[in-house]
Amino acid sequence: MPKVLVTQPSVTGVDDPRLEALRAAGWEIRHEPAGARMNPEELLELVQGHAAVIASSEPYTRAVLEGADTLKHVARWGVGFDQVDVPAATELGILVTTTVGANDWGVADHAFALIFSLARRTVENDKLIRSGGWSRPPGRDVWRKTLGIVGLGRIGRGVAQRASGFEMKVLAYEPYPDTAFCEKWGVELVSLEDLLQRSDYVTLHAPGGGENHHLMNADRLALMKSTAFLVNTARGSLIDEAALEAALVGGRLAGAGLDVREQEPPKDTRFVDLPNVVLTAHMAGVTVETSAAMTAMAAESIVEGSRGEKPGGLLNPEAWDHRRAY
Amino acid sequence: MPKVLVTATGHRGDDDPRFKPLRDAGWDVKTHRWPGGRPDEEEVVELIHGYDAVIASSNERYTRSVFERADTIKHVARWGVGYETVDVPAASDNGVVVTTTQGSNHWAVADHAWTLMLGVSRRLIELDKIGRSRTWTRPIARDVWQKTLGVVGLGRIGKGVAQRAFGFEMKVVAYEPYPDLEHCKKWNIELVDSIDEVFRQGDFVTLHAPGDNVHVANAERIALMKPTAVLINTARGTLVDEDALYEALTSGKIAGAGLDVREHEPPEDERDDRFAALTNVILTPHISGSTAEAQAVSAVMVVEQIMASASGTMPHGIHNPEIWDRRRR
Repeated sequence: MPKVLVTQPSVTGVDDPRLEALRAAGWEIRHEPAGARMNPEELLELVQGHAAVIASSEPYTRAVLEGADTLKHVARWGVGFDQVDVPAATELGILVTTTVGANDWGVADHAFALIFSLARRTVENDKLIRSGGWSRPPGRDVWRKTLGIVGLGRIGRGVAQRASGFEMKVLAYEPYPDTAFCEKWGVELVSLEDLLQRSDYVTLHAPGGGENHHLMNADRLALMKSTAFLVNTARGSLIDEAALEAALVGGRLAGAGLDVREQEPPKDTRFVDLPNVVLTAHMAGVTVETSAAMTAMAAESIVEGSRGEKPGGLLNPEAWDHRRAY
Repeated sequence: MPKVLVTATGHRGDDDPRFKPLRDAGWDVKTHRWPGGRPDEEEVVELIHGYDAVIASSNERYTRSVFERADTIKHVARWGVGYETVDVPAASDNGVVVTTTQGSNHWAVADHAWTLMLGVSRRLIELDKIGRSRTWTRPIARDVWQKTLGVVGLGRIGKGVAQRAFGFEMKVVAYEPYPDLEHCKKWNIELVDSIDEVFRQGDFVTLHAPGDNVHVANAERIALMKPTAVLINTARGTLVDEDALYEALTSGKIAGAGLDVREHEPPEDERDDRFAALTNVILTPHISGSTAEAQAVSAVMVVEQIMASASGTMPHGIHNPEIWDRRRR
């Protein structure tokens, strides 16, 4: 009977209903919540003897992967995989999957939650009332305003679609657009510069790293309207935070909603005292519903891999032909 | 020279450029700001007597005695859509025209219902507090995507709220005695037979009924809601039995609430303040209709109304057209 280790804390236990695929296939499940604080030595000890793991953010270094010679599949619960040495896993024939696609809708919802909280100054208003105040600062419309979406991947498309009932003008910057989608939902494809100049709300849905590092630098921020708002639920590295802070303090930008930061959690106090900023702690993709979906997808991917079917969310298909055998 | 006083809180002083058309037409425009709290009758009469018209806030009450004593007033123009503070029958008896800027902010109210829905489901107030700290815990939120939206009342605002659900792929159920069937068909809104059914089915229940539906959200109806459901009120404070809501929120019978309107505005006593201690509510100070864009529209509207009635044209947004022929001149 193959054994799977579950380190993801939000899985409720070995009897979590979303692990049904594993139970039905006869897997023995062990639940030991872990995370980023665990060191590689501890992790190796924990993971040894298991064929697969539904992994949280603990470090799957080369040493761990080499040492854990029973391990055939690391199924990351979530979409990030910074903590997994994927090239090492590929070399060793260990499959690495993520639950990509199982939380898109949560991120798209959250982008809108941030847009509205900025437009209507919700955090500020709520704080005011709770301290006995009743001054009534006016907000801004969202209805029929212009929404600029940087990146029309699955999440960006979800955001675009949500704008339809609000009768918004939707602009998007995307190098490889799905033109049928754009036509269906009335999305106008434009250059990044054009998008920044015309939008009332700009939301980022581009990948981080590489040439997108500091995509929103001082020059690009300066293109935005002074009444516009910037939302980031994608990656913290997309924004030059020092430049953003300067624009917000200088009144060159109306506000910002940030779910992701250059450093997480942040060690400095940047943005903390600004009333026109809404900060959430990299939560966009995590809801009750997406959590359940991610657990189910991770469980299913392990069962698929063990049956010799290429699993969903596979990051290293090049490992497939020399994968460790069950 | 006719004189108009502006007490509405949206003004920017005597030189407010939005009142230029009035000044150009020969009106003397004065503005006033109340220091806070509700002025008494005496103060109101003293302030407005001698003016021909008032562009009125919701702070001061226009009672029968005010209309009788301030006998120079010909037109009370509320800069806003509510007129709970105006005794309209008394105004009519005294020949005073009453208008509101109805239709000037329905889209903003519909937006705000969504602000509260998304804010409560994504626990934004709690999350922002955590986000401003250096210890990131992650309280878990709930989806809006593909959930069920329950709408009580499909007037202009309720229709707008329902239509906004389209891109979120929500199921929309609504109760409305006089529905616009074309709109329902276009936006895939399912009409149900009773208000109870809206409370039963909705993951979000949002109220868009007139304020005389006192306690439409009472203990019995709230008890029908799912434990994961959220109640939103951007309409009138009278619609919600706050005792019943407070009980449901603190005992976990429902998941949360977003309240822009209250039984007492601003809150007056400890009973009103109870909600401020709850983490599963978002409270905003009756600002659902108040955006810069809506204020710009209503400023134009209120100025047009004053000028129209002074020049003998019945203004849009009049609440007592039956007195037009016997209005004060």
